[in-house]
Amino acid sequence: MKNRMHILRDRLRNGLKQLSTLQRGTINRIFANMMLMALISAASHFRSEYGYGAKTLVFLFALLPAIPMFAIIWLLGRYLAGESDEFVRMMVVKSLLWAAAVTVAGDMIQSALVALSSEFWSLDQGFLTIMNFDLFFIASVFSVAIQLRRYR
Amino acid sequence: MLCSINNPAQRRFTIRMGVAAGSCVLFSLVAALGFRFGHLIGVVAYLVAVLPALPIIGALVGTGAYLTEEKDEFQRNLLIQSLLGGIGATLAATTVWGYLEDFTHVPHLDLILVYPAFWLFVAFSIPVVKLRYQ
Repeated sequence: MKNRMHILRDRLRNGLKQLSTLQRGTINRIFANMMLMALISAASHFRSEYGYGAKTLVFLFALLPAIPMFAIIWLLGRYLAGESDEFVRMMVVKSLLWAAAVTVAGDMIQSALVALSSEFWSLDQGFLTIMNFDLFFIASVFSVAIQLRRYR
Repeated sequence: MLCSINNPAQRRFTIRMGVAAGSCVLFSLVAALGFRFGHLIGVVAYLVAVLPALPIIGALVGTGAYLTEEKDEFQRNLLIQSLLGGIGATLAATTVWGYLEDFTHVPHLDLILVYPAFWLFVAFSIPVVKLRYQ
């Protein structure tokens, strides 16, 4: 197990070394925005937990996560515009498309399953709607990994 | 309508999207009728629930195929930027709505609406992206 972790860590380190400046910069900025999203989410739950329920505050905390989300999409757009390698650009575009496909297909399946059983997964509906971004992000990372493996 | 499209890649894209949209409507109808009148349970119910999602994946695979086939770099970039705009707007809208659902009493957003909303946002993004190049 420990050996496997070492191999994985070395692979990750080597992979990061091979990235171009643009790729590394984009990943760092996306990571910073993800952290910001997590902070906003934590603050939102803290606000709800301690009863700060003013309407303006609720709307503000609902709208705030959209800012880093748009920033991530803008960063991806900027990366695609700046990437000089046509092959890598196409790979990223395909990964994003696959991630979008997984997200909307997941939504559709979940919607049909909720129609089938209203207590499906016993998760609350709002939570599943928020999870869309996480599903998209995880699916795009997996898609990049699969494509990298395919073209190795 | 198809005859007016001179670009073969765009013609194929239009046909693929038409087939996917038609299949989506058909499969959704089959699933809805199946659940309403067939009282489906178990594995069959899960399989029928997955059915309407297949054309969605087909449509997005078709979009990927179009991006590979399209020779015109400008048209390709236009669609890529519009798709990114669509994805961003959809994710932002669903997240904001999800938080509002959690903490206020806004009506529940049926997730089946996410797919049409995505293409609607892509359609809105196209003129915005085109404006940048004028």
